[in-house]
Amino acid sequence: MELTALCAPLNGRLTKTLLIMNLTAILVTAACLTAGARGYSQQVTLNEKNAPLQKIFREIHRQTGYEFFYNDDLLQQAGKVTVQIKNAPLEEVLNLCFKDQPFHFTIQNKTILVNTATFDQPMNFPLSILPPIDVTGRIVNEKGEGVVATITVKSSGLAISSDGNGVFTLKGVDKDAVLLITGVSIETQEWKVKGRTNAVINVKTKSISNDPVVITAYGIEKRTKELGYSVAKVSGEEINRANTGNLLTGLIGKVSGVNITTQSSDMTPQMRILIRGIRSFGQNSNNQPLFIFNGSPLSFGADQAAAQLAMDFLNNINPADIEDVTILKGANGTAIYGPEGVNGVIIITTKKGAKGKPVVNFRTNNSFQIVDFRRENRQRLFGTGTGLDQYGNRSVYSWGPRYDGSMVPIGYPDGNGVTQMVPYKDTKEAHKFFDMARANRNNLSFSQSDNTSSFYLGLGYLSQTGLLPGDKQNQASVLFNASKIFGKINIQLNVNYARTNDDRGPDLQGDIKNLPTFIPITKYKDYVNDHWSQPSNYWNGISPYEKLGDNRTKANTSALIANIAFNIKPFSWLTIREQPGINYAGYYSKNTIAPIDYAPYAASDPNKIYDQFASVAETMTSNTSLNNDLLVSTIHPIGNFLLRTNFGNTIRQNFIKELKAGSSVVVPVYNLAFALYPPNFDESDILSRTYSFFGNTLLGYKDRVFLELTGRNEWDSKQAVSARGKTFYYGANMSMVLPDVFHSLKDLKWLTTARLRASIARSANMNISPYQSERRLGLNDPYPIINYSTGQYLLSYSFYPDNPNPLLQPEKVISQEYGGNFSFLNNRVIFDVAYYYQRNNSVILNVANAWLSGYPSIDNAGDFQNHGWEFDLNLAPLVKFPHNMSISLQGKLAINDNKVLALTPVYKGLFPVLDPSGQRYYARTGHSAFEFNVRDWKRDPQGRVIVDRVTGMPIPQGYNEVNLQGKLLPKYLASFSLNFTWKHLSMNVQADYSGGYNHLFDPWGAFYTGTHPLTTLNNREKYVFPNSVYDDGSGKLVENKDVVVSNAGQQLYQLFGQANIHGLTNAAFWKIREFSIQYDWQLKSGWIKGVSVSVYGRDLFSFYPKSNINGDPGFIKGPGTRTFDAPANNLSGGSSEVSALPGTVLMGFTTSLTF
Amino acid sequence: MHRTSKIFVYLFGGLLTLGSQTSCKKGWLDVNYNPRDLTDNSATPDLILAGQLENCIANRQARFAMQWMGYWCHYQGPMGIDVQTYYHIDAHPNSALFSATPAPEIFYLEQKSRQLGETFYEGIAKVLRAYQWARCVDVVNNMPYTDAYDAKVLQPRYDDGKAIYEDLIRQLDSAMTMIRNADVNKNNKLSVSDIMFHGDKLKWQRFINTLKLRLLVHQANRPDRAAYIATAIQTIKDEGSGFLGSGEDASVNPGYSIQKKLSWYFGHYSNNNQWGGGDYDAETQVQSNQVSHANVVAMNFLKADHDPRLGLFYDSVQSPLPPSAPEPFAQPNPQEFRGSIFGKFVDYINYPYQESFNLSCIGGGSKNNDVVSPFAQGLIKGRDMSDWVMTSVESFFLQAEAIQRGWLPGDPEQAYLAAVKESFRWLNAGGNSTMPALSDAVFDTWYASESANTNVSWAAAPDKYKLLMYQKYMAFNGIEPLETWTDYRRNGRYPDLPASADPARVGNTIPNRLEYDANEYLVNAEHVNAQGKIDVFTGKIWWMP
Repeated sequence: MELTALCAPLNGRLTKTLLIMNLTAILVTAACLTAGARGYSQQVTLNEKNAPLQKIFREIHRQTGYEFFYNDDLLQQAGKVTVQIKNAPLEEVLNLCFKDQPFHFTIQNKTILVNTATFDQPMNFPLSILPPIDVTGRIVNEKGEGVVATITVKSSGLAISSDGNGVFTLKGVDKDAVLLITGVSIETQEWKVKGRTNAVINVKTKSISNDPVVITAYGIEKRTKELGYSVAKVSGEEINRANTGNLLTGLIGKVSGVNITTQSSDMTPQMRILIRGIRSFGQNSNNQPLFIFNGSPLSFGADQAAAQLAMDFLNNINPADIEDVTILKGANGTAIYGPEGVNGVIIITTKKGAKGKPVVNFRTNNSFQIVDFRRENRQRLFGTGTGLDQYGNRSVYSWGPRYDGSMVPIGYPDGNGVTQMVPYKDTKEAHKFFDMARANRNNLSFSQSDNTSSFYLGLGYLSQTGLLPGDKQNQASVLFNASKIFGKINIQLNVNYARTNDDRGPDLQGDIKNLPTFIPITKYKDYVNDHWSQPSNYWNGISPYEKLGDNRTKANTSALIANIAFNIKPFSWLTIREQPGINYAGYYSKNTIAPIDYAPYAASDPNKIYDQFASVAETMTSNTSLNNDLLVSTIHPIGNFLLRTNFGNTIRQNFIKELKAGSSVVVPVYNLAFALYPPNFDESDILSRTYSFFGNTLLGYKDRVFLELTGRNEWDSKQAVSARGKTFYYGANMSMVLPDVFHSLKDLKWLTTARLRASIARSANMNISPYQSERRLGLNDPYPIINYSTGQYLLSYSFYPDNPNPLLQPEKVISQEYGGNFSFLNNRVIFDVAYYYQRNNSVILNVANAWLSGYPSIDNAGDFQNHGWEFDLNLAPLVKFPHNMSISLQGKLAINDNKVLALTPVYKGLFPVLDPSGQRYYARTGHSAFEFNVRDWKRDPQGRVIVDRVTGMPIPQGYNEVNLQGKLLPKYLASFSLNFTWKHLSMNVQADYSGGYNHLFDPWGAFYTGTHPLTTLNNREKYVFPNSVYDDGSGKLVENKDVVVSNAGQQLYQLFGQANIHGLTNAAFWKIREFSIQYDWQLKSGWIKGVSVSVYGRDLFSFYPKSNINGDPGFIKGPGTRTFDAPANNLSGGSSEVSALPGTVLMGFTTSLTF
Repeated sequence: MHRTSKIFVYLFGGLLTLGSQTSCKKGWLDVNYNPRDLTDNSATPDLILAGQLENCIANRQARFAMQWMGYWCHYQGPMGIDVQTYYHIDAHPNSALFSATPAPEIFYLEQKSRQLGETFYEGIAKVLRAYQWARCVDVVNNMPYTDAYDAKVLQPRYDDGKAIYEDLIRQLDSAMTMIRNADVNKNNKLSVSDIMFHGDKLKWQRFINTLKLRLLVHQANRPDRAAYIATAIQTIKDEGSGFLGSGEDASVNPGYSIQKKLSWYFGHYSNNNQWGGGDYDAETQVQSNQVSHANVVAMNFLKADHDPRLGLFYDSVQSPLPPSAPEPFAQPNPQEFRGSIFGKFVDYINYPYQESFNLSCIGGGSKNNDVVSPFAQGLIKGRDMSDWVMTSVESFFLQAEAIQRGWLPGDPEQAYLAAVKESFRWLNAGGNSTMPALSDAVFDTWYASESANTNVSWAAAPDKYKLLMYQKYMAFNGIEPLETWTDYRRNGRYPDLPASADPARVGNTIPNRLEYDANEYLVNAEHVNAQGKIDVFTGKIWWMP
């Protein structure tokens, strides 16, 4: 094990020498194995003098992976070849080599067939009485450019190749012959000669998704057929089609098995992404995929807090600069990444300069977002009053009498003893409270590339306003990609920098949501001058406008992600890539709250006795992650076998530094120097490091069966010393091209290709947060305390709450995946299916210990399985009409479910976890994680509600009673995307579905304040609680026919609020997620080369089950900053806070100009 | 190999070496600690003790008992909260009532001191153990003790409450020996980190004796404990240091100041405090200082007895009731002292004069002193006031009971008078704490005027024990409600206190105990179920007769 030897402690020179010897050993081994460069290209470099043709073939095969098929006898006739050419297209090289040979070649699907050159021999057409003709023609693509293609006469098999301008001449062809046009980058097409001697044959460029090369882990390029696991690729175009915001929003519904949720309605919404569900169910487990940005990890560590940082960082990437996104769905594709990749990997590649003339692109996008009040449900019949059914104009509760249109007083009397009067009738004023959120994004890019260099500069500026009045944000971003080839070294630089400034108001919680509907809320905007809006006179506390105006959080973020890659290719079989990178996110925020001085008379309102002091809170955070990847790749063909190996190492360091301070200030000068009390402050820094060695080998047989083996070992600072370096991860996968293995399948005309794949990997989930390996004590607040007269100081420490576990191991996850990819009718129908099964037999759980137990409170204590199916169907085109009109359809369906297989016995099969809002969930053995613990009414065995014998009031279950219902994660995810194109016009509609799960809305506030629609049950008249029973005094439960509830107001409905089962909802939905119409205009002359205009909408229509009266089950919070930060949590998404909005709708338009 | 290839091999070798050298350098991975924290290897007793002494502040978890015992209540009680309904009152570790979770640091402090040979610290750790565990037994009876905080035990067994008590007495005995024999100089920084007695051996000895007496008095009403008590009393007598004396509280003060940290009691319970330091229970939405208002039960007793301490336990109202204003219930005179009924929700629309400033806050004479002066009077003496763990008042009442029971020599009547007098002195009824005689004079005057009052006068009282208990109840107002609750339970619900007025209450008497943490029934079911069904109204703490 050379790898292990490498990491032995290095003491002195001897070890160093040994090390070098070891390294040499590795290199020699590598040289013997000899495998792959950075994949294949279609660029060939040859420098041969009088070489046999076989040698040329071998060389071309090495460089491109293309296989030659020929008859050995035939090649005896071949002449020697002298050729000197650099980075030329394959066809060009072949043409050159075959120039003087008695052969010709045909390229089909990466296979080059070599036949006798028949075209200059006299043709023999015994069956035809018609004389043959010569056809001269040109093959052109949709841009009018000439294309190198192979032209085959179907009847005779005669074939030639067109030149670089697409021109070809075919001699002696039957007048009724049919020509088959094939090529690497074009779609296969037939052309009927019909006696024509001059031909312009239009061919279609193959779309990117059919490109057989994909980028996989560590930037290793692989051909699709070599993949033993699921890989999906989404183009930047698709992501941007109907998207203003971030990259993830644009990915929603585009890849099967990827579940992306927009969790808030902020300017930069909180997002959640899960690929193939979850693999771990601990409260703080990280189930988020790893992001790779231009080859280096966009990561700040493997734990959940770091995952949140990565998620925030994504907002700094301008979606307009994205070329494509590749998603490696499971541990199988990412085994080489070790624990980092266990949840899948999302590889983001930005645009590079295209070959040719410089291209300048300008794109401007405007969008408008509004709250979807179609989904709002609340009672609109009753206004203010108190919980005792008594009219009270001062309460915020809607427990008053029915609206009657009369003028009623609200609030307390002002300084003149006058009380404000407003009409007592329903209004929809509150709908006007939220603004229309606008975003304007402008992008300018410059790009160019040639044979040795490429250049791309993307500049972006975004300015937006939020739904919450006063919220605004702007972002400037720069992306710079450049590469240059210096002989055998290719240097690539990728830099993305973004600076964001934002200004936000606080989360208003229920202020608007539970406002009585007769309050003319929009009249209180001018809280400075307007009499009834001023804080002393506002009817209830402080007006929400003033809350927003007085409490501002201004922040700016500087985010940099940069890496430089050195690709060294000393030999054709060896490539070395060294890529150091840095991720940096610096965040600064300042929260200020303005003072409020109440007039003395306002003290009649108990909330306004004390003035509100001004206050300031400062936060500075810097996250720096350094990473280095070294990858050595070799490629070597041995007879029928192709062997590619990659090995390398990674080094990571993550450093998080945070400084926070805050205080009330005596005067509204928002600086801690004016602190009223000694400021509160907090400083923390977390450093973690890892390194690892990995390697993989891919063995291909005759380009039809492939087997890949992967291994990796990891050393992580977060583990206790004794537990480090003992984590070896490995995987194997294979892929088979069926028609190449079973030749009979080739006869099936309707079958284009079929592949099968299978893989197994044993990886891990490093759900270990820093500092968990030993028991720690933290300084108590407010120590140190210093006695200034004696100079003595006093310190006091106490234990952190959790008991450590030095033996904690990363969670071992074993993943299996089986799948197939079938394409029919010339790729018109493509069907892909995958089944996966993942098992984690050492889930790390924050063990809720027994009372007074000193046992480790974190442990590998669970056993979990996660499995599912994914189906992708692509019909392109579904229907084809004349005039280039076509409709294509894509459908995706993913089924995912999981099961808790075992728990530490102490839990007796029931493991409780809390989400950030304190809602309790359970992972139950034999069931899916998670289930909701909701409070229902107390019920008899028949399910009837037990009410009090005297008061007739139902009784909610106790807080600690366990009543499991529902399911937190969706079982079904589906999406359909319909694409209509006609000449320059295209139209897309995407609909997606989530189902088979639940969401817990927070009904407490709405019940308590009397705004919930259920509170109008029986018009607030007392009633016999339906389907209820009571204890007749003897312990016997009898049906309740006559005991009415003693109160049909707040007293009753606050019980409904406690029984939060009223908030548990079927979370299924259908959404018309995206709708876009785009018109592309390619101009042949003039300085503008292209114009593209599009109009789009997002979330235009949503369909929910009838039982869902709250709207979007994805939203867990409303817009606005909060004074507390909910910790990152595996369960976020299960329940929402009172401020969550019922949904949003977005419309936008984009104009793009290319020069 | 070609020459060029050799060069590349070495180049690559060099790169890899560089890479692995960085990563393999010894200690490169050893960054898994937080520079601002200590680990259990690096901590020393002087860095842990102060916080543990603060944990012993008598009122830290006593708020529920303040309300149950009729001393305090929310000025406008919210409806349906557990402290009022007695429903699901469990002592879980984050309970707003009582957590019954002695700090794990106590055992650690004990071990660490033993390892370092710092026997004074070890003795103190044992005293902390006795103080904190006994309090928990008084609330939940049987509980884990021998298995507690053992890293090898997943599900701790429950120990018998009586056995825990007996072991605690043994711990106190060995603490006494350790402290007596300790070399103070070998106990690093003790004078600073001991924020209670600053390393004063004698004071510790008197505190240990007083604490032992408390634990013995708890079991006094169980006849079968007589022999045990007698033996234990004898060791106290033999030890000879006596008990906490007049004006000698066991109290902690880490260096409270308005700039750094307010007194715990002041921060939580003063209603004249803009400086923070209180707490807020998100579940019930109750702030600590909302609870520190007068409860009519104790207030009306004080009024009935014309007790001058009325104005020392409570403030007069800031805003008097306007004439003919509606009142939810009648309040006896004097009208400038007004209280609320625990558990009774008052609708402030109909009764708008039930705001915080219309009702008496707790505290008495001194409200806004930054620094406690000799003239400070009442419960709340100032922002830097020390927080008591055990008061001299309690020491005197414990001794009075011991004398009455014949455990200690002395005149029961004099002991009774001394105890009540100590309460007057403690509250500084005379207005100058440097001259206790002034407070004594206030007491004497009042005592003389109440000569016919069976709740005050020794001569008039038919049952001297009940008199002593009644006055102990009166003296512990706002000071030590957990001990009042203990007395109430061991004396067969005396004095007679009303249960919560909350219509949703699930029992008609004040509970005898709290439930175990509900989580225990999930994760330690075997052991918690062995305790039988827990009924908070009929269940008993082991020392109850």
